[in-house]
Amino acid sequence: MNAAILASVPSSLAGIGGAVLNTSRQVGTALGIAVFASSFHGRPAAEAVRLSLGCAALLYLCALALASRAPAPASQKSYDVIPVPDH
Amino acid sequence: MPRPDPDPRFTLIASSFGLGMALLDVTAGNVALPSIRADLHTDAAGLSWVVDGYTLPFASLLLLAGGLGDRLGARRLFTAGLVVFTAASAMCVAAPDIGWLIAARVLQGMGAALFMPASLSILRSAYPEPVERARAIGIWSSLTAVTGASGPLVGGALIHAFGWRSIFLINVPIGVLGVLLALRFVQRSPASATRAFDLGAQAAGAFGLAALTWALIERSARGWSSPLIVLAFVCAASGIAAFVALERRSADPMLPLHLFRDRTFTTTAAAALVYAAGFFGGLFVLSIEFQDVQGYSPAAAGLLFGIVSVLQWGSPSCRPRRPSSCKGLSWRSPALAQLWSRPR
Repeated sequence: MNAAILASVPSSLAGIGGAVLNTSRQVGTALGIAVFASSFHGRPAAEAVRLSLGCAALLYLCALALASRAPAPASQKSYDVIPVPDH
Repeated sequence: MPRPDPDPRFTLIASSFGLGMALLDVTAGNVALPSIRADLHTDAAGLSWVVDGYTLPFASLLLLAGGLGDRLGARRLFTAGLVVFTAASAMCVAAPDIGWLIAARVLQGMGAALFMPASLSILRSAYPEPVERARAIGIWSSLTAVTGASGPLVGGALIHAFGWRSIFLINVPIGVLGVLLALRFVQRSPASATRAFDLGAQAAGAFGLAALTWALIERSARGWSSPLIVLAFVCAASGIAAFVALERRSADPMLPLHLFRDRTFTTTAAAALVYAAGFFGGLFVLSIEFQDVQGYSPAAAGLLFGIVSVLQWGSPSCRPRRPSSCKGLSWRSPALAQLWSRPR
């Protein structure tokens, strides 16, 4: 669950930081579904699925590129907060 | 009335109930989409509103909910959110058509935005002692893992046996129990009116986001040059610009923009957005693929989604039908794991 991010951020600023991350995940979800769902219009479902999953793979690579560009945070101590699918 | 010093375990149960219920809906929801499409006679655009109808208000209200929690008290917010969510679930069960279902999903999203952040706050105040608190939060967050993996399985079986309405119906008894537990056992949390919240910025941001989503969903049916689509994009841009301008001027913003000066923070937030677009957009597409293209039953599709969810923990980008997209995110996971595990 998203809120699991909040579980590992105690200070007040970290709290809003977690909320911002949650929000960006939700916004990404909403926009991703909007774009992929619109690919079904005027196309056979199987083709739309292939197209969308290809786009999804591209998005992963972008996310990967972004994540690897992020400088490491000062403190490396992290907690194993378990990521699960959610909205 | 709560006792002066209630057993914190009941708070843990109440907050886990709420969380588990919302998570089940979200994870099982994907399995239900093809059944909803067949039953309520809608298309992919209609189905995307079933998901986005929930996601949009949830996303829009999350930042506001933090401020509301400070102002009204976490217990009140948790209970109110749970009541809204449970009532909206009952509306989903009764939905005679797709418009009704989407309206009910919007209400569910609003309820979830209220009680999700509050469920962690009430847990924190029920366990003031750090070791106990860490354990309670550990239990609470491992529940999210269990529900995340079993949600599609349980949901698939429920849909297979009783139809898609059953995944919303089981929320009703769980929600009622959660509310009763919260009223009886959760300690009243102090409400402070210290933080103001900016309803103007909230409305502008939510409006901009909704207009953008609407434009993206409807653009393929209406075409890029349709005046309505152009208008929606203009609305989206001005809504988001107004949000940023209002937040910049505000003395106590919901979204402190200086956070984005930190490069780690900004890139992590951007990666989270892009990754979620791919993953949850992909899940939506797979729901149609598994059942409408491949012809699996809801139960079999639920099993496949369960596998996708489990794979996601080890290797965030793996998915069964697209091995090419698994290019080593797992060994990269320290970078990606930042998205989920923030330094303490």
